Amino acid sequence: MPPASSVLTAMQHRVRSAVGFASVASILVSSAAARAQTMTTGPTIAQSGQLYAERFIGDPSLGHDVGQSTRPTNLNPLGINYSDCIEDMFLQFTVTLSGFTGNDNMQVWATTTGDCTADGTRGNAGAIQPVCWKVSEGLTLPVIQTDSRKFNIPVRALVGPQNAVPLATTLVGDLGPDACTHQPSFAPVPITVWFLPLLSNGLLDTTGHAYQYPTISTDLVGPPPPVGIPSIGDGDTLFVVSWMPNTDADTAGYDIFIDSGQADASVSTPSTSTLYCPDSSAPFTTTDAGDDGSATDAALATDDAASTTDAAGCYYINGGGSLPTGSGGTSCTSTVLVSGIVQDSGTTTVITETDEAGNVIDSGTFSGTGGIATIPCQYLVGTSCPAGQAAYTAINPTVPGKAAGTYTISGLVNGTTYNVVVAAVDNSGNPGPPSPESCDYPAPVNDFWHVYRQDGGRAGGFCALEAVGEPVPSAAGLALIAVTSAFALRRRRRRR
Amino acid sequence: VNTGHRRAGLALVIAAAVGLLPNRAGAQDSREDILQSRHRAFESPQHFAFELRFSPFKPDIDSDPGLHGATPYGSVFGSSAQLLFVAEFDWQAARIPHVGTIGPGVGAGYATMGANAQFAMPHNGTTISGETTTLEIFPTYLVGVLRADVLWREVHIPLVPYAKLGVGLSFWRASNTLGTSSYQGVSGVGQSLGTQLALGLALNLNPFDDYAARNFDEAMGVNNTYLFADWTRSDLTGLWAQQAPLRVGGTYWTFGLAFEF
Repeated sequence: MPPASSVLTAMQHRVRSAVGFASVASILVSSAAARAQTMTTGPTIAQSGQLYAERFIGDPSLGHDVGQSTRPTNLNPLGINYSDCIEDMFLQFTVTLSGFTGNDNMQVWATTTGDCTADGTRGNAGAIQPVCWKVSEGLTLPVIQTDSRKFNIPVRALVGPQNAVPLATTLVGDLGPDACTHQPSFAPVPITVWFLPLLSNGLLDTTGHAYQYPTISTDLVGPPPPVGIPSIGDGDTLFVVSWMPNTDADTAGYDIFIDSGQADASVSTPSTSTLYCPDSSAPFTTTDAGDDGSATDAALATDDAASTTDAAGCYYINGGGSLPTGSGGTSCTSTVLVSGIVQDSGTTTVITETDEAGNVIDSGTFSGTGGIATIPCQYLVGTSCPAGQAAYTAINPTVPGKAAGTYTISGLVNGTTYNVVVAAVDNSGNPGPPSPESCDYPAPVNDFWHVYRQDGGRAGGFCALEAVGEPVPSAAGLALIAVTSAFALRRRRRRR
Repeated sequence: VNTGHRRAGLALVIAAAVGLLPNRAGAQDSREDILQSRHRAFESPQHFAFELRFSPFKPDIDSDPGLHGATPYGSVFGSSAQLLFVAEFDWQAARIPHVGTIGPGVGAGYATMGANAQFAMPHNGTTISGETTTLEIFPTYLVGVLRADVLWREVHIPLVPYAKLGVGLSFWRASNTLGTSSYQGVSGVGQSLGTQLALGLALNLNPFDDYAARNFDEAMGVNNTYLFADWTRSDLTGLWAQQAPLRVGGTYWTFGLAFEF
């Protein structure tokens, strides 16, 4: 069995690798570990079985076990994000108790500063402001325990008091969903959970051995949206959406949302519009505001009489020099795409991200307002997201990678106006507040192949050297080549 | 006038090449003769050649008579040339005395051109959409190659004229933002067959640094290194086997580096 010091060192390594951040907290953890190392006998709490807590949605006695993580390895799977909190997730810790002879309590405490073993951190020993809060009463006197026990800690109790630590003896109760909005910035916060042997007066039993669970990276606030308004490049049934990539260390990708809030382009089409009918030989220009059943529409329908789909197969195209009304975020009118919770404002400095060896991976200061996008899943594109849920429940972002700056949305209907917003997603999977809206509508385009074929070009099709239905010369040409080759070979053999 | 210019140009090229000869000859002494004789003695066998070819390239698509004067390529991609890169491998199967080597060669390359597609109708006051349109060309060819290195081997003029003639087959793909293009059920992929011709002149770099050339031969087996330029004609108009292929060949100058080994 390895000595206690090496176990603690290994635990610290795991903490750093799991969280990905080296912070002041890790220094405090080291000093706490040093103190824990001095404890020799007495009540001891140790890890039992798996290192990481089991997760349940809702009360573990009622809810369902979702394993030790619900996210991919690149999205802080062992940490806590907004979705975990709002879904009322519980963490079930399993520890082994030994040496409890009836003189000690066993309580569970949490902190953002790394250490709860010093009595002052829990509000004892004359301390005025504690930095640890009690998340479980654990076991109260007299504890005579020699086996493993499970303790269920609600995520909300872990993350709720981080910004306002309650008084020492107060057990954090059911804080409700409000607990999920108390993180002060979009930078992750490390939270450490301690299992402590405490005397009846609340002081640490220094003859015992506390257990520190690996630090949990907690992030309940998504990063600020990309700066500016996303731009839309229109294509044939598609948008090419572009935005300015974020520079903060927290952003790990982007979610793209789209809403066809307006029934068709006629709602916002400028007065100079053209009815474009793909199955007709010529477009029809009109100053009519749209397909509203007016006399002009009737005339257009008459013009398009040859079409079996009639006006339904045509699009109103904005031939004028301006975008649809409100494009550019001034008054694009989708109300669902603005859903979000703003949780911090102003300039925030993102903590420096380091690797296990302490090398700086990423760092920087970023101005913006973090929060959480609460747009329903059906407006999120490019990733799976349960219908009826909010976008923060999506497992993966639409576009991974902080440096990404463009995404193509396909499958749109030409002539229909769509509103688009972009939200940055952090390393824990939290989508931040959406950007301002941008709106436009796709329109038919002629790519090179269309132009070539429309101009009379007849090439195409990969497998045949000749197009289907073409006359004989292809076979004749190939035969000529074959005969010439055979003749040449035969002549060469004769020479030999 | 043209003939006169060509003759004058040819004379200049020969004069420049011969100009190298006096320098070389002037520098000759008994020591160099010894080195040369040693070089000949250690020269590795030579059976192959490898070329890296770079060309400013614009396909002949708009020359298709079936387009009746329309210029789909020019209207979409413009008039500027794109880079065509080709790698060629030759087998110098035989040597013709007092002429040079002859043998088959194969080449394969890549070129791509892209632009923003145009709207079918003006949209938001512009005709340029946000959708891209791309044409990729993968040319391949099989040619017979004649390299007349007699000037270099027998007169020590480091110029090697060469000619290549054969058949070319280029594969191509037209695509847009969503992938391979399609128009009325016809997919924008295919291949075009035709003839391949190149006439060029290679400058042997060995005499510029004999020592490096010898080392290159002894270490890597490379006998000669050339800079070359040639006039290339890739006439992919079907070669009796296709009625109306996409004319992705062209006429262009090619520049590159060649190695014989």
